Amino acid sequence: MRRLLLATVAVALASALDPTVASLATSTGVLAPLHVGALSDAVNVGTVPSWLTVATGGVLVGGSFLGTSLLTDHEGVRAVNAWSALVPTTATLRRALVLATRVVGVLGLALVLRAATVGSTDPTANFAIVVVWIGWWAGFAMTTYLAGNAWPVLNPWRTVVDALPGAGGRALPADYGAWPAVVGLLALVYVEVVSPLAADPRLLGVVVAAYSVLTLAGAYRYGPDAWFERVDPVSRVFAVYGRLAPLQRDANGVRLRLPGSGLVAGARERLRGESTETAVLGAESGTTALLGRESGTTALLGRESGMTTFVVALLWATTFDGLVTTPAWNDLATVVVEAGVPALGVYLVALVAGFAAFRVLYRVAAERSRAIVDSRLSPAAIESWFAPALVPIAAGYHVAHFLGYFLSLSPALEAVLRHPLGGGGVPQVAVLPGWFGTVELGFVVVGHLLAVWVAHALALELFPGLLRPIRSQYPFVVVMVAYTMTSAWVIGQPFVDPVYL
Amino acid sequence: MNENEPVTTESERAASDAKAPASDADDWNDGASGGDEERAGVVAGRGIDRAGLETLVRDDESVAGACPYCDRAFGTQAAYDLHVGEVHEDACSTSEHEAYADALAAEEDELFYFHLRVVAALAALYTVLVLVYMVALGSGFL
Repeated sequence: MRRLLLATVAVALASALDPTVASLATSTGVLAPLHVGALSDAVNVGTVPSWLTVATGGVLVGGSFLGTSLLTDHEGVRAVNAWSALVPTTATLRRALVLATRVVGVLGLALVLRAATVGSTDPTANFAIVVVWIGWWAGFAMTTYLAGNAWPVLNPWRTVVDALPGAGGRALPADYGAWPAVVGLLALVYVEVVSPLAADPRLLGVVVAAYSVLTLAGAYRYGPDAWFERVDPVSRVFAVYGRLAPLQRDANGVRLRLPGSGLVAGARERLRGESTETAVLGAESGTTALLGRESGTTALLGRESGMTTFVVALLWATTFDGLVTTPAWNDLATVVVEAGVPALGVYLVALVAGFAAFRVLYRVAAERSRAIVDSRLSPAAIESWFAPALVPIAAGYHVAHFLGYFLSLSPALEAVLRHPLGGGGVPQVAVLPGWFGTVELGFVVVGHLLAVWVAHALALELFPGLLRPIRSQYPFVVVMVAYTMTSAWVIGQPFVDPVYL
Repeated sequence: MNENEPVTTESERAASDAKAPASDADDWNDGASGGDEERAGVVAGRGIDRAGLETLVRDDESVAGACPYCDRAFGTQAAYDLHVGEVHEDACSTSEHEAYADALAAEEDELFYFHLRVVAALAALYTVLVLVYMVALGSGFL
């Protein structure tokens, strides 16, 4: 019964967002309660074939695009996205929170380095492994898009560099744009996938120490603002995710907004030449607010070279992380490696080739969009305008990929947090119920629905009239349906350890 | 911090001589360049409009005009009129506003038939999905 109830809630939740999901709810309701239960198990077992589950994800995205095309009232769409409420905070509270968060960050880094050096070699009992992978890369990363980006304050390397006098002696060349972060992100993902970083505390310690040296040196040389806002891939990932979050910082403090509306903010002002960028950035004394230091809108909607590529890299990185744990990948990799290709090379080629495919697909969509509406903007301009719409997709996929991992290993996290110096006893693992796969699939779909809405709102601003904004989205919707179905397929696959690693 | 920089690529901008009112550049802080640029018709090539968006006119593409307020080029007169009235509604002239209203009215007629097709597509999608689920769950056929 509990399973049935949750499946119903999931469908009802989705139908609140989209009229076509309501049709799904109706249809399953007509069939019989038995099938509602079956639907909840659809991802791994049950009577709904997996191809139908994957196809349903695509249909939901396509249908929700049709639904949003009925909304052509510019003012109405703007009003929905502009809704916000000031979160009451006081300067004292903010200062205390910032101080506490910074202490936690620096203390955490020190404990991670300690545990990586002398801690237990059992990964699920080692503070470093558990805090880095479960607490930070899964848990904290989820808070950046579900709540707000606190990384600029928590970031221990930033705290350290801020305390050093004389940082920022050299200017970072503007031509670099987001490219160093693109390379850094792909390199981090490669290292994470091919090395036993999540199982070997000593190796993790070496990587964290190397990252620390590089980051501290770079941030000292170019200044913490330039380094963490532009070069450091980790800070950039969280800043991009943070734009999706309901808590956003502006000139007046912390605001509660609708999820995703931060991705649209500033679009109209930019077209009208009345930029709000300086207002937001000017108020940034940074250290005084928990969510300070986000250039956010300007970074995403700005003219920065390579930003579109960075967002696509973020989307691909999470997909790749899931793809290598599917049986299909393992079969393919086995054949290629047995033909004599080095395993590390196979993974590198797959990472780069898949990324290139995602990137080219997005460029093709922008080119088609330009042709359909007869625009005289360049494809690169159209891409960068709509790049924020990819963020909810990446976040939806991220939560689908990591929530189960986080929840099942959260007892281990609790144990190491209670005993940060070791001796937490035998680590426990929570077992997730079978319907959890459907919940994960739901996150992928919700991310895409939000993406459709964000893209629609951005299109209404960019392209003139009522029909051009809608038609401009045809190629992007086709790409989104393809991304959804790929992600839904990956999520629905049984987990296997990547071969040869 | 290049996202904080003002638009500096004025030298690339090209404005429509026919549409541009004489005072259009006055409300825009031109900075060092741009003020002495000779206005010319839009030619093929790349440019940057005042919102920082890159414009591109390929050799085989025509241009109906470039927005006098932000320099963005448009392929059709309707797109041009709609853009000026929507984005620069506070700045545009009475004649520009009338052109916008006419273009919008024409779009609204078209929009009704477009929405009719959208509703039909949604209904078809709904029907197909329900039928596929009924077959898949009910018959064991798929």
